[in-house]
Amino acid sequence: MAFTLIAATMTNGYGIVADANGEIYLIKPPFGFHGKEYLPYEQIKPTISQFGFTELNEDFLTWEAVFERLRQIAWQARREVGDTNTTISEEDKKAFFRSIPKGFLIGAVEKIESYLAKGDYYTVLFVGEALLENSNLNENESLQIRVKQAFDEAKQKQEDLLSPFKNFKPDRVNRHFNLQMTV
Amino acid sequence: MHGHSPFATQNVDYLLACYDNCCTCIDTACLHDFEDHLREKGEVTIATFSGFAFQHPENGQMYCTGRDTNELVLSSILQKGAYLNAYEQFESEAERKSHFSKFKDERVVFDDTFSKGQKFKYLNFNNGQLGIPAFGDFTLAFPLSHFEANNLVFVKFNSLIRKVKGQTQCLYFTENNEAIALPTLTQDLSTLQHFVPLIVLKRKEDLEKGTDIDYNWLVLKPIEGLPRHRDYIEVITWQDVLIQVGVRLRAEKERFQALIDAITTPKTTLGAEIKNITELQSLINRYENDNQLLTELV
Repeated sequence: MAFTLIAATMTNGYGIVADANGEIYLIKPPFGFHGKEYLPYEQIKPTISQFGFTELNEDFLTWEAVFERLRQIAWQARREVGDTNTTISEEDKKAFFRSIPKGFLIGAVEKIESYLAKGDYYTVLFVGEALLENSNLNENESLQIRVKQAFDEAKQKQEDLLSPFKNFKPDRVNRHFNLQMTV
Repeated sequence: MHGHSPFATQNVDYLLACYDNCCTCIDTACLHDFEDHLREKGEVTIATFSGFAFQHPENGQMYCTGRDTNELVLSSILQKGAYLNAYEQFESEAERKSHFSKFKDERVVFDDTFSKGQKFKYLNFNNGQLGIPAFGDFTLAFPLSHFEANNLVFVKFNSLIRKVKGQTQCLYFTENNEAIALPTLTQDLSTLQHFVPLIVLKRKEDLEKGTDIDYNWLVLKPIEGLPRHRDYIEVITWQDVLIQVGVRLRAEKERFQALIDAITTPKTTLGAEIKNITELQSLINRYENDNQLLTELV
């Protein structure tokens, strides 16, 4: 057999794989599992137990088959924790905007400008912040300027909107409200 | 066992005669423009059911498909760097049958009829626009130049299309779908050299109606009563279909922006699906950075 999947993390699909020459690789998710890193076995050995790896010792003919197996493990793990139709975490949302491919960015930039036009400043700030961390956007100066402008304008407008409430102390109000309720 | 290409070549005289008849009743200049357009912009596209998102027609809400890991076609193509057919992708017959779904018997009959049938890859012809929205949120498009002319055959209708809606009898098959009706199929085939006459013949009625023709409809037309474009020109090839320079990945701008809305709306529950999309995007980015894939919104 060409490759042996020595161990994998059953929660997220990291894998330790040996090729026919005995070289050891650490395979990293996500999805493509092409994040292949050669490492000396002695260096990787302690990680097998330390980082939650489970020994598998399964043989495969091709890298593709190894990647597919790891992908299955990751998907299965997601399903088992009920991660099939849950609410989206803030981090998931940000990850989406950080990874929008080059040719699709224009759609996101137009969208953020439409949020600004509608006065949805919170969304502009949220999406804008994540988009500005998108490495593809950094390569496109004109789109980057448009996002930055929308972001700055939304920030300014939201500050203007909130400024009348800057002395507002929600804790104090709530305490007062709670006291009333107990009376 | 038969070769597919010879059948398409046999059809040339019939095609060209009918094409000449069509040309007499329509604007020749428009038709030439159409031909030029297709030869310049023509593409071959893949149905990329992608586990992406769709908007519910009634309540307008966004939902994600992501039917199963094995059906994330686009992810699978990007991971392998190639479009593999069911024989290349699944070793076991059971897996192939499950992939072929309701056409499992017909697909086997069709593929086994031809000498290179098990190498056939089924695609759609596209005019350089978005593609077939019913085939997924992304259109993966290969320029015609990607293909060797003698490895490409165009079929007037989907090769497994039913003769009558609601029945199981397929158009290009003999009774009970037991074998291929070769004379019928042959009449509807074309090579790259004569694919334009095939398209013109298919849309003869539309062309005869007048000169104000939407060219997109000549290649891709909504079937009456169905909301999406399904009446397409099928393409069969038996060569490798690899992701390489010149290949484009398109998405519809409105649908992409609706997805952004869904993601930013706190009420929407799309958790795992958003993660799938994020991962798909990372995969697309990798190909983009290697300059092997152009992405665009249309």
